[in-house]
Amino acid sequence: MDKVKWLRKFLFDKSVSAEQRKERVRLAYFTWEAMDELTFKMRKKTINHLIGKIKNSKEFSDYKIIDKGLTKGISNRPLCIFKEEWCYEDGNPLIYYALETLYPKILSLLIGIKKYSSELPFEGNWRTHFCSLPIEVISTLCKLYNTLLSSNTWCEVGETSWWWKSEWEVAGFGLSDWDQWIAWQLFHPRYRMNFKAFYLEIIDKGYDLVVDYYLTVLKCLKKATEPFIDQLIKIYKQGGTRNV
Amino acid sequence: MYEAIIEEFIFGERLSDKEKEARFDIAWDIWKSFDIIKSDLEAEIISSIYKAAKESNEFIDYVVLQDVEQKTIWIYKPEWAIEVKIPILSYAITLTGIKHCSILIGLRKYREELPFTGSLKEKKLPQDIKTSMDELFDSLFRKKQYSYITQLQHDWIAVNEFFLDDLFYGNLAEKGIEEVLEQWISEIVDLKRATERAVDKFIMACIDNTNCSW
Repeated sequence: MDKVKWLRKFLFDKSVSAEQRKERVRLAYFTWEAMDELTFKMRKKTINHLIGKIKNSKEFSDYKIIDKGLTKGISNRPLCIFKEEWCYEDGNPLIYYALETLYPKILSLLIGIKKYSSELPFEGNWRTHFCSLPIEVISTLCKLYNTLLSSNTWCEVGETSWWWKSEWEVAGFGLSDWDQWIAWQLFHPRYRMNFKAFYLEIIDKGYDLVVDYYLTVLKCLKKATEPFIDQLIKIYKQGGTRNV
Repeated sequence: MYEAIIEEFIFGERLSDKEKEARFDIAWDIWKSFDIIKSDLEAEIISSIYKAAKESNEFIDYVVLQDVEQKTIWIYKPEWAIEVKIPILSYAITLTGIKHCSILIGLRKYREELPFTGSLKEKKLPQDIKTSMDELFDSLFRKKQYSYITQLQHDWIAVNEFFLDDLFYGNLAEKGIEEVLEQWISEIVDLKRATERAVDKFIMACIDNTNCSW
């Protein structure tokens, strides 16, 4: 018998007293209500743990971090990680390492490199605007992608990971929101396990081990791409990234 | 309070990781299964109320409609409709809410723009409509539970809200669906008895003023 049928039979079982049925249903109701909160707390704690680890890591010690917070529901939680010298006049970074909860309800994460606006330091995504980008920008982006795609991130992460082994994606969508992403990797619990297993993994391994994985990905990304972002910012500040 | 108890049950300090996993597993299955059971029960509630209203002698001269998508039951006299199946006002029973649900019972505009857009209280209306509306509200206020006229949703003239909380589902398991729904059937019957004449008058006044500019 499937779980739903079994539970319904158990809750509305006429062979037990009416009082017992009432208590069973109320307990199921409270569990239903509480689990929503508990799993939200676990997701929030996972992200908080990760943010704490990023802030404390020596690799990002000279970086600034903007955390926009996690709210219940569908809104994202963007985390911007950047160097002071990557900033535009308004204090916001032109390019930054990004960590976003794409669907906080199930905690899938996007980790990558993102532009703060779709116009700066160059307009749109590099593939659709390829012809209009200055040669210096194209050449730097190509080097960035080459290094990133050949950086063999996944060997460094290790075989114990339960995440799907995938490749870095590079900007290629025409959607305006995706125009801001220069490179990204999507981490989705569905790839390797059901959502329940994600929480069981946290109980079994602890928050520290689970978030260590994301931190490693972020460190690999930084190691592979930092000089190229520095270069893109330099080109922009010298006035050379405007579309031609 | 219960959240803390359940959190302690699953993640209690004295429990081993294996025990925590096993308890989380059980709570997860209850969570997911109860979600489905709850949705099934909500659908059952609406169809049972519809069936009861349709079979009730009280509404023998009424049109009883069920909008499955909107989870609403409409109950109105044919003469309250300006076109077939479009009444100016109707008694309504609506299931609302996404996670926590409640049942709204009251008097409702079938279409938000009919007989006019906005709330009855805010609108400047012709005198005879205003008088009939005052009579309608008098009849509603005489029933204590209709002491509030919702300002939030302009399509409701008067509404009473019943929460589908733990006690509701507990009662459902204890007494059975028929007995629990009886309360709401008698609620709508009481409302009908208290307001039927006033609604008649209000509708007549509206129809008489159809060509006037409000």
